[in-house]
Amino acid sequence: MMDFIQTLGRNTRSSFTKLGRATFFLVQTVIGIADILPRPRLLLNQLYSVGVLSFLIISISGLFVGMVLGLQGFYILSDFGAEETLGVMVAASLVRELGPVVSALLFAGRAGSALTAEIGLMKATEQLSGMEMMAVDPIKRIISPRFLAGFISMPLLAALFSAIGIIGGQIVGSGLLGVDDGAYWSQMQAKLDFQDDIINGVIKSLVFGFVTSWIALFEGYDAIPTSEGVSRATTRTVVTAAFSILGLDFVLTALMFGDD
Amino acid sequence: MQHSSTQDTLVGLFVAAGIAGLFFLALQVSNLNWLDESHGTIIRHGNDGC
Amino acid sequence: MGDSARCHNSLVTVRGLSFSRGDNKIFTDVSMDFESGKITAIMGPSGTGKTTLLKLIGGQLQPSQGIVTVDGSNVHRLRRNELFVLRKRMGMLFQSGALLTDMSVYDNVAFPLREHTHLPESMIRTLVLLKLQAVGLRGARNLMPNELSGGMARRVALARAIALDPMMIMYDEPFTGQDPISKGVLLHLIKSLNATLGLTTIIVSHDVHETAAIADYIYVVSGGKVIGEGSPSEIKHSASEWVQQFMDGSADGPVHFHYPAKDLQDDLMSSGKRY
Ligand SMILES: Nc1ncnc2c1ncn2[C@@H]1O[C@H](COP(=O)(O)OP(=O)(O)OP(=O)(O)O)[C@@H](O)[C@H]1O
Ligand SMILES: [Mg+2]
Repeated sequence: MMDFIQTLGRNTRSSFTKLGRATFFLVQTVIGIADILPRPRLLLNQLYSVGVLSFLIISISGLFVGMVLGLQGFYILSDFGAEETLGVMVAASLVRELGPVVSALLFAGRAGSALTAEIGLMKATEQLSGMEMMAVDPIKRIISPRFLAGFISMPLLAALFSAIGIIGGQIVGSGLLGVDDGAYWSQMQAKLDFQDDIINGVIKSLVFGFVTSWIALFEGYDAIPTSEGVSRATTRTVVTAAFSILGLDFVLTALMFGDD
Repeated sequence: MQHSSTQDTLVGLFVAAGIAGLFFLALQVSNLNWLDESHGTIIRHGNDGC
Repeated sequence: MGDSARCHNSLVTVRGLSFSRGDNKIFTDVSMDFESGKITAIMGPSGTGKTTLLKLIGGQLQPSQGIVTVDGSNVHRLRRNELFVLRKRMGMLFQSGALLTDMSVYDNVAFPLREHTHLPESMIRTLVLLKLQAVGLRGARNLMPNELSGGMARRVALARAIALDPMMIMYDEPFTGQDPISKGVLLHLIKSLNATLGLTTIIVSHDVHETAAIADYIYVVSGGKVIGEGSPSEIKHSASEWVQQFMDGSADGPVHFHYPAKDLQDDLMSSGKRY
């Protein structure tokens, strides 16, 4: 029993010190962004590995999620004779929830794990200390561009996911199941609000991009510099990012869609 | 740093596609009316459906 | 051989340095001087903390006690940007090479030049090719680090360490993994960099004879202390058993080859327990 309490205490303390390190790391990373502006090349390279390489998985998943929504939505709505509102259902669920959340989860698995492994290995092979000895700050040179690239890519990827999903829903709904094409779009436009739905969805994906990139880069930077340490850090990135995305989604949804 | 131009092109396409996605959501999916005379503001016509 | 004379002209001084990792005391009250424009070697058994010492000098680790000064400034009292200014004038060759794996050999050597200077690309090209020529790897400029052998990677790292023409350079075991020919070339290179540019050199090495051939002064470190120091000939004829053992490379003597452990017999007999 004493042991349990002691372990609990030790774990709490180490979580807090880790949170402290992570916060310090974040502050330095954000400060470092100022140094990228004169060197867009650093950002471009990272937009490629973080954004372009996640593009395919995000678009394909978006298409399938949209198609499934079209199918399921049709079965339920047609029971009530309300299949013209299929577009509303597909678009609202994608733009408000599934777009930001699912694309962020995929992003954490695709780009986040890669970032953690990359940074962790750079640490394990002394590339980060080597850089420090060459008077180059690895946070500014390595971390900040990746962070900014993640932050920029996430809303773009989420928008693509939603847009492709909505088209997927339309293909299934009006293409295969015979929902009126005009109704699919006009009902959607009538019901979805730019500010309440689109902007809020973008805000969510910005928050998720921020948090996922932060977690992924910090786990890599804080990894124990061995193969096992890096592999554990990579796992932790995916798990922590997934929990944070889902938890934050609940909080943000409550704040955004709670009262009106 | 390799200055690969295909890489730059792909990044350009990616950003363009992402922005196109955002515009699609704004114009085609929601009710933001770009060409309206009061453009830049948000027009609600939320109760014609029900 | 006046010790006092050495102190006046030293670029790097270490005074009363203590450092530990957890309970493991790596240095206790170590003092050393690295004379400006000379080659000073640090020797000692594996695991005594030679790499750690270089990292302390480079300001990457914080000592628990003592002072390290480089060119008159106390490394561990500097602010981060002042430390970075100092480090531009300190080259360091890591034991592992520490090349950036996402860049070619050429870009690795160009890296410090691109980060710290505004030279035009044509000038950078000239400098990079000259540095690569010096280490014999001009033809390997387009290879990626994973396509290099360990010895080649170390030589690329050397070219990178001298890219900014530093005032001093620290070599962490430059000879391991080198064949006799490149070892000879490296020795010559280290010597000539030191002679022509007056590069203050700190070299950590196990290769007693090679190092003794080029060093001006040698420190022998063991068990967290300096156990012998002097010019190569003084070290060779040192009266200290410890130093003699190290120079001869015998396993028995006051320096232990084994990491501290209990008696082998006891250890083997206690088979029931896991450790
Ligand atoms: N990150 C670390 N954490 C804990 N202990 C460490 C760490 N790095 C090194 N040590 C310990 O510090 C001691 C000195 O290590 P160091 O790498 O400086 O040895 P070295 O003299 O360079 O050895 P070698 O000649 O084999 O390179 C070793 O006993 C090692 O166990
Ligand atoms: Mg070492």
